[in-house]
Amino acid sequence: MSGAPATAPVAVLSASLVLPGGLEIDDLFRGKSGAVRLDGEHVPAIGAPVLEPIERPHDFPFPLAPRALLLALEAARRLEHEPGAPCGLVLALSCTHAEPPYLEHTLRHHEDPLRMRETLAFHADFPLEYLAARLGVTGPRVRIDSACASGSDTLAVAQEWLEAGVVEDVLVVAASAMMDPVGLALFRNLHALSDEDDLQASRPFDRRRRGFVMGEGAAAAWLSSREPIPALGWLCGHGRSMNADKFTGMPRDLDAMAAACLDALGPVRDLVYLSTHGTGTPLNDPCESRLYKEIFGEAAYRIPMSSLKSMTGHCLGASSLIEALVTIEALRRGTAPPTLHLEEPDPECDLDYVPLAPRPIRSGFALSAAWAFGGHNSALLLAPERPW
Amino acid sequence: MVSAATAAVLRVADCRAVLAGTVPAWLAEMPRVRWVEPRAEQRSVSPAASYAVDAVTALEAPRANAALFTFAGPPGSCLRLFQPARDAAGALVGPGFGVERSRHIHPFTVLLALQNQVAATLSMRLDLRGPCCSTTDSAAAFVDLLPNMALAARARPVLAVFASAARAEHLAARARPAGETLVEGAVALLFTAGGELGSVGADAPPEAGEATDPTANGYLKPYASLVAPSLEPGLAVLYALGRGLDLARFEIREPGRTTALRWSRP
Repeated sequence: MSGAPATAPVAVLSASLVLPGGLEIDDLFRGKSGAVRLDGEHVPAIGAPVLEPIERPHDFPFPLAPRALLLALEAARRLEHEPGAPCGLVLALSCTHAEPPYLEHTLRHHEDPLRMRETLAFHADFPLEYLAARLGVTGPRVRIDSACASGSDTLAVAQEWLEAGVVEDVLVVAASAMMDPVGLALFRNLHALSDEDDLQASRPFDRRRRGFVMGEGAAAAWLSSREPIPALGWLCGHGRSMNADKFTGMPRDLDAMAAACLDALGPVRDLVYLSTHGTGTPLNDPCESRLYKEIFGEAAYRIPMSSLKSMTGHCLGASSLIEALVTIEALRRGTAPPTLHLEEPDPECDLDYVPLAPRPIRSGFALSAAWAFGGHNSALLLAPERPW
Repeated sequence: MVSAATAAVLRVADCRAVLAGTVPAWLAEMPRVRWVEPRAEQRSVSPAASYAVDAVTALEAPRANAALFTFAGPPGSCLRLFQPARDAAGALVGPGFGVERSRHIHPFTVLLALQNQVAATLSMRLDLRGPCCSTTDSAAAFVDLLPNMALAARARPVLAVFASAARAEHLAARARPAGETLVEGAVALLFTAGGELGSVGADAPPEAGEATDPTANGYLKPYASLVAPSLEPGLAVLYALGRGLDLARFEIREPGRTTALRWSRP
């Protein structure tokens, strides 16, 4: 593929993370895991929850608050931003209606309108409008949900608004909170979670992998098309597609996943780093490895790539925004974060997954990829400097 | 001055709806609408996703390779899916729940709990493999996403699908004025470069406290008593087509904000 890039790069001016397990961003470049042993009520026993207390705002208008929204608010609170007006907002917030406090309250009180008013924070556009008000956003705004590709898709929508000239600044926020008995049961019963009682259970690309470790977290970023501006990094392209195949499994052919990557890459083929989806499920990792060989051929073996989920667990709807922002940080530092716990490589996963320890990388382009339940594919092309 | 947001105009090639619920007469008589009985959850398909598949299937213009934008409201109640686990444990969570009793949550429940199920089901059932933007509880954002759709429309048809089903708990939490009518279902709009039915674009939203001129918006009066979460932009186009309007302005109202849609017909 050749030719001019399809999209203008947009600057990522600031970013914030709410990581599980007490992790800070430096920890991801040291190879530290956020996995902890959960209390006795949880099965499986290992997860990566956000450990610090996440408080409800004192003026929150309802007694029940979605934990995912509280995590989103925390990420927004940590974000340094001074956007011009009007500013856009893209929010990714998944599965709030599966949070146990909502379900328990509703199962008990669904015939009592007065008590049901206590759940209004879970309904309709409240989470989006509440966050917009807290951030002072008056411009376009949308709440998206493409499961585990949601975080990546927030950046795609933002880049399109900036490219179209709708606004000059967009805030994106993604959060996920399914680290509870119901959320764990939902994914465990699908056999998607690792059942190991082992703090090293998140082992993407390792032949011993048995599923993902549930994580939770949030991220936020400020994107702008205004110039000149000092940027953390640049979002240079994005690609999205649907597999039209299975809801939870990997597709039989990889064409749609490849199309998303190729749309994001545009004319670029020389990558210095690739942040994989890398869930650690038996199906995902070899499929993803085949995909990169299809796209890059022999060059795939020379691209350092890693799975941040080996450290953070799978933060579901927030994961791909966390991973994109960490990828930008990797480009800034010139360091690829490692894939932890990769000690016995799966022969079907024979690419360079930067096992166990971080590694220096060249300056250049990176790809961040996400594949989601429902067949959503989303890929982002990132760079440390404006490339064109 | 024409802003980038209001400059984005999409041409409608086709519009179809599958609706259920208490039918207001003005809507029941609209062409392009098929009325059906309200649907219950299937094992892995929510009512909203089921309506959406039928609405898109009814489109007569080609939709292959389309970019998909979904605007999903409540997909249908999830409560029934969690009741067995709660009955077995006495509480949905708590001592003992996580070990064996959580097995009462069926594996497919996660499919119905995920809000991207409308987009996913459309893709799987109708072989849609193009780019997808799956939104939830954001019907007012249809107007905000017109520029995104216009970008996608440079390369391919754009399919916008609005879908929702009554969520009992959602309705119970709302203050419902007397005479309110609840409609659920799906509306599918196909935008193409050569679409001939009419055009939609963004219009300036009303200022706070601004009185709306009802003569400029024939849709306002019937809409006032209609609850159709996440369906409003699609119903606006249906209404404009059904009434043969040449020019109209529709307000897309959600609890938190209002955006405005402009309809024009050549």
